[in-house]
Amino acid sequence: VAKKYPLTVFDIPDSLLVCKLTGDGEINCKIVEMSPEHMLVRLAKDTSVSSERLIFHAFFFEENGYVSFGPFFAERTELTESKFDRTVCYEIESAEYKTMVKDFCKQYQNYIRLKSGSMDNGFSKELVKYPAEKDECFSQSYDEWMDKTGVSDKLHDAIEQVFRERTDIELAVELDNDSKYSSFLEDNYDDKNVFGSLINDKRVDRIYIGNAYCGKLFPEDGTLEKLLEKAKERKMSCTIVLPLMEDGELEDEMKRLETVLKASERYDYLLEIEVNDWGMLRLLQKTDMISEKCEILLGRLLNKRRKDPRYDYKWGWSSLEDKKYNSLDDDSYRLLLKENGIDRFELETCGYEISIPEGKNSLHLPFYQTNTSQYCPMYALKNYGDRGHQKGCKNCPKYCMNHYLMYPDHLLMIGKYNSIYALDIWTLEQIDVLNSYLEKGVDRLVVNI
Amino acid sequence: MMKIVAGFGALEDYEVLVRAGADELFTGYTPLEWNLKYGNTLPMNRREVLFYHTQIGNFEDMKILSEKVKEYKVPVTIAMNALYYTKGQIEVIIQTIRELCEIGFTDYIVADLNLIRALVQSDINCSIHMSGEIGQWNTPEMELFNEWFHGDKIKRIIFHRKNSLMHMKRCVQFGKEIDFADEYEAFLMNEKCHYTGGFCNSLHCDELVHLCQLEYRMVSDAVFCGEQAASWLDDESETYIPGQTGCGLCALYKMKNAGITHLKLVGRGESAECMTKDIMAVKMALDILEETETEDKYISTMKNILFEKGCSGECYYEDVR
Repeated sequence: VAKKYPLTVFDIPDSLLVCKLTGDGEINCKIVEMSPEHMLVRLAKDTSVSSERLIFHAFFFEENGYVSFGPFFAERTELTESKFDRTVCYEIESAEYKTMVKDFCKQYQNYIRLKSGSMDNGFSKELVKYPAEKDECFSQSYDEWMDKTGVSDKLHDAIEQVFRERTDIELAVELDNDSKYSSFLEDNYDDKNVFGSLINDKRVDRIYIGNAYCGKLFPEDGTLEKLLEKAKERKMSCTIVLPLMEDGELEDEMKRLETVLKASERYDYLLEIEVNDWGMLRLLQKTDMISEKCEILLGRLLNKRRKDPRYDYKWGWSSLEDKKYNSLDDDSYRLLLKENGIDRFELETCGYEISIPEGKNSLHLPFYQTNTSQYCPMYALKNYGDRGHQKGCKNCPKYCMNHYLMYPDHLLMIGKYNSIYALDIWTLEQIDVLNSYLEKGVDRLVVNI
Repeated sequence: MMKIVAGFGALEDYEVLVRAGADELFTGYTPLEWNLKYGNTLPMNRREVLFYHTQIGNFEDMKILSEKVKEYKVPVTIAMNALYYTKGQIEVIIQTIRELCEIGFTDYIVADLNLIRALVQSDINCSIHMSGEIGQWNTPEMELFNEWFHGDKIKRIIFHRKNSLMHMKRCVQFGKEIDFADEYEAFLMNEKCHYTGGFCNSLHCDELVHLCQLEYRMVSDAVFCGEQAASWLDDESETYIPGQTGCGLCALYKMKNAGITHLKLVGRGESAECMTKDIMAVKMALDILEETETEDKYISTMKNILFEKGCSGECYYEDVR
């Protein structure tokens, strides 16, 4: 048929363009070929079609979504019948149809041209006005980057405003690496250090100890006890953060768990434990500690959500109401977690408004995780010069204590530890949103700067 | 012999890959109604693009595919492997799976525990392949999931890209001990990622590059260490090498001993031509494996035959030796 119609295009993904045959019922089918005058569709052998009425749903990126066209009335010809399917040809005489086909093909070709001609973000600039020219601008150091973001002042202001009106909200800070453990134990904080100033101002009610993403950053032997002791001295509550369990290191994880449980016994604490691995939840369930001496929190790695600092450029994102929900908004799922001893959910702010589930919720801010690797990309990059050349390592040199992966400044992203994080300035500036979270059930803010 | 499981993104590719020697195939299915409501913003599976053939988008093609499966007897598993779904989405997926089951598709790759819960509790007679995108795999987790999802719907565990061979062996042994799943699948070819799939929450869409492919620069507190970028961006070699973007062929001997039953060739969105070559290379490697007695012999023979001009070096399993 294509020979008859010189402007025929083939092989259009049916995620972009679908033909709906309408009549007694509706049949969505694949367009095998198409020109401004005709169209071939593929049908299953047992599908009967009586209608010559066609509706099209075509994705147009300029429209941020699908546009429907038709109905068009067409002359139908049964063409071929193979062992598995049959092909039907429709000849369509319609100016609107012609325009649709031309416009659609133009944008499809345009996409292919842009994508094949650009391996960086040039195509995104044309497609979604992504500011590709800003990708050239990198900070030369972590401190420079932090200063440019202005996050310290913005965080300080947000906390001031929130706690001016609310006295029933707990304020927590994360101690998630060796440097922070030392600072806390020695009361020795960098001038620029926000969590240091919060602690010095005696505003912090709770500390989170441990790194959710990397087990190598858990406090070493003896340090955990000292941290707990120091927290008790300062009348702070504690949450122990248990990380993703490393591949094949079950014995180490058991030992870590034992240390935590012993520490909790020694100090007679009601401890909270954030789990970031379902296996760790199982190990905890096997102890008799859960209900008596500790509460279990659903960790950030287990609480999945769409997180990327570039969502504002994403087609269809701003108008999508359901983006704020995740699994925790399903009562059946929450029940499953509750039956398994999980009492609290760890949420992150992530640049857009999220739904707050029923129950107890902590909100981590201003950083949120986007990507994590079980094996360390930083270790691979430093040791082998290739971030993808990842291996497990027994004795981690902790390059992450003073190395970072810097991304273009405008993205507010940083590679740190075994993960990529982004900075959510938007929520810090939307005090109404932050207050609405508190009204809906967030009773704790956890500063992770 | 371990079975070859290959991905495909268009109906036309099914027979091509069957002829190449795939034992099982997988693809995605996203009906128009889903795309009209959620687009590729809250996608039905991990192929979050519209401008490529990464999945089937209409029920007519699924009916045709079903007939082909009956004819060629090479089964197709459907990926419903987004990291999570909303409550409303789960209702839509359950209904979609009911419709697909009616035409013969009984196996589903699932990563969202809440969807697995819903499927296990439903009256749908289907089998679940627990996706590598769930996150980590370890023996206590398997024990927990065995309790949560008891019954016979959990058929297969798919290890993620960064599980070591030793670890997979331990998990397979444990799974058999507790009678959790019958089948264990490991990644073998293509699309090695820098980050773990289950913890990758960023965009994989048409209009922006993957977050992990953005240019970055490593700095230390003291010095600027130079510029780095995702290496595969520049890797545009036109000569075909098996597993150019990720390869585990050297690990086949250990995989067999570990009890791996299925080998994943990532391929939804790849050209059928490349997938055909990959499948043929893996089949050849499996034949060599059957005929050699030691690991050293297997690796040297396989490399001599398949990698005369050298391999990609993009090893999935660094602990192979």
